[in-house]
Amino acid sequence: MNEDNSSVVIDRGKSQWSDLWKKEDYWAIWLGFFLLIVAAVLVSSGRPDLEAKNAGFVAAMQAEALKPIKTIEWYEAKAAQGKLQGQDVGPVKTLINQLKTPDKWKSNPLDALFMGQAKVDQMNAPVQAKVDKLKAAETEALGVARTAQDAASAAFYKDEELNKAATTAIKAWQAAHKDRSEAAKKLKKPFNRISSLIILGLALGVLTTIGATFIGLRPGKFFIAFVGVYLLCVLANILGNQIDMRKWGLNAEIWSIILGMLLANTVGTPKWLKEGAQVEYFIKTGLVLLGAEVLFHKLLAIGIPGIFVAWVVTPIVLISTFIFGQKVLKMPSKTLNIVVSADMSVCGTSAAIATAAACRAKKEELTLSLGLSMTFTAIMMVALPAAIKALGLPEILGGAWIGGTVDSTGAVAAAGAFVGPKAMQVAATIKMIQNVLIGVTAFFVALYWATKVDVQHGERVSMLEIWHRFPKFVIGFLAVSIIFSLACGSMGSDMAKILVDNGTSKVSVPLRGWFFALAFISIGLTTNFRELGKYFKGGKPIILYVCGQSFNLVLTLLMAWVMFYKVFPQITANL
Amino acid sequence: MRIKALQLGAWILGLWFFFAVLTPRIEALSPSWQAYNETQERYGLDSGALYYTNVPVTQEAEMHVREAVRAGMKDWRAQH
Repeated sequence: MNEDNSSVVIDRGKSQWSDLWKKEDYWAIWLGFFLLIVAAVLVSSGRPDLEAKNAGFVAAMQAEALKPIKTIEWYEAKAAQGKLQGQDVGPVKTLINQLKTPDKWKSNPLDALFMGQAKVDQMNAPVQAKVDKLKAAETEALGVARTAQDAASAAFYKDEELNKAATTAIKAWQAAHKDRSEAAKKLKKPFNRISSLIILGLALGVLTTIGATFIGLRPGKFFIAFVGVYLLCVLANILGNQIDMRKWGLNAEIWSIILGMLLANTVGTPKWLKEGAQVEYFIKTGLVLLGAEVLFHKLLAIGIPGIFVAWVVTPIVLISTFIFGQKVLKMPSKTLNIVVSADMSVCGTSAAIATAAACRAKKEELTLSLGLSMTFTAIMMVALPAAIKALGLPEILGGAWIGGTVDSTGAVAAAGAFVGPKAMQVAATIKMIQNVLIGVTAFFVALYWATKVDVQHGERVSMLEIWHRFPKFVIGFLAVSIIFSLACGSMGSDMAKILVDNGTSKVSVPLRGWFFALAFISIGLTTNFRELGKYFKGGKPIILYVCGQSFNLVLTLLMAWVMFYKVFPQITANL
Repeated sequence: MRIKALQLGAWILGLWFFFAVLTPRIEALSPSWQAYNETQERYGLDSGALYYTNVPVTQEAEMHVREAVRAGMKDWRAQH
């Protein structure tokens, strides 16, 4: 079947210096960079104090580590170190509070926007009673642990029996501490999101309007349209934060598409609103912000077995599925093929977004791909743990299998937890490593499209031409990823956790979420149901997904078994 | 325009019925689904989370796994 290239735009324009302030790709980079620099500067303002405190706790832990048992003081220093977080620096905390989405709610949607002290006290009453009980148990366990440790210390830690008794008592205290902490997380605080949502909307409106003006949009009309799109986004977030929706995987991004499409395909998207439905502008900005979460040092989290499961199997499945789609299924759209292949093999929605933007896929293709991913994730997140239990697979193997095959990161953690706590840890870590693959995937897809796909038959493409065609936001995305990865590497794992994982990420993650939700509302507002239906023709996307995922399931299980049980059983034994 | 507004209303009603009425009843009939939801509640998880940074438990998981890998590789080197 011949591919219809009439709708493929092959950019033959020359790059100019004015592109830096006139092109959307570059404005996505400038906006993303600006927001990340603000986050980094604010977090860095607290760095000296955090470093000094961390050094103190590390010294305390090192001193305690000289003793033959892990003492109460060691655990207390460790816990205090864990509480050091960049997000608690004053200005950072203020900024994060302004970025918050509507809260979770059960039956009253207004609970998503406002909750007063009276209602909070009413909801907290049963939880507080449980927390108080667990606190008392923790205090008692600490008393027992202290007595046991003092006895071991009095014998200069030379009595094995006393050391063992102290270790057991201290572990029991830690278990009681964990139970109390987990219960306390469920306590709510009063909040009012209305003012912060208004401020956020206006701030994002002003920032995006600056870029929109240079891109060539009319600033006044864009700003008003942006406010309309933003309000729909807030509604999508309210729907996505309903407790059952969250459990079923129907997040704000999915509701954004649904709301947008509902409006567009019934009453129709008003003309004034279309001005603000700038899909690519929002998606590319969101992707540049995502770069700050794509940290290459995470690759080594689960060692060589994890790298093989996440970074060897995944490209094999991606490329094989794409070739299968082209040669066997003869998919009419290459871009749909690669987006579905990336979505299924890498890590679901975020991979689909990055790949679609890199190859300039149509928004209907992205929507279709997300729909497929969501549907099969809903099936696999329940079916795969059931299969693991039915087959009697070991927990670690089950976790690795889930991590390498289930699309959505949230569903991976939940499905892993369903198998067991170790499976959850392995699954979540493997999926985290796969998440890091997004940047590389986007880069190579963009490169392949610029050099092989968007060319006429027999045409040779020069390096300059590749540069002209290459989607520049991918460079911004990768640059952010590399900068943050290098920064994490240079500051050491402790400070990277404090300043990046629990610092700048707490700013970039919600911002990224808002931009993706804005993009999805925009996609919905400009998508026609009938257009979407065309891409389902012959059921080829579904066949592609099913065949690719089947191959993924077999290869991931095989690789996980080989790496975790044959090559590195010592790692598995310690997990 | 009235027909289109009615279409929108019908869709909203349909979605409300599907998610607020039908799906909870289907969930009530499925022990696997209920157990899955209980697991999510217990660990504070969220199936719709897009990226590892949206899943708080990943940080703790990474820490435990890194320690296990360190210890495991030490044993592996000792054996080889």
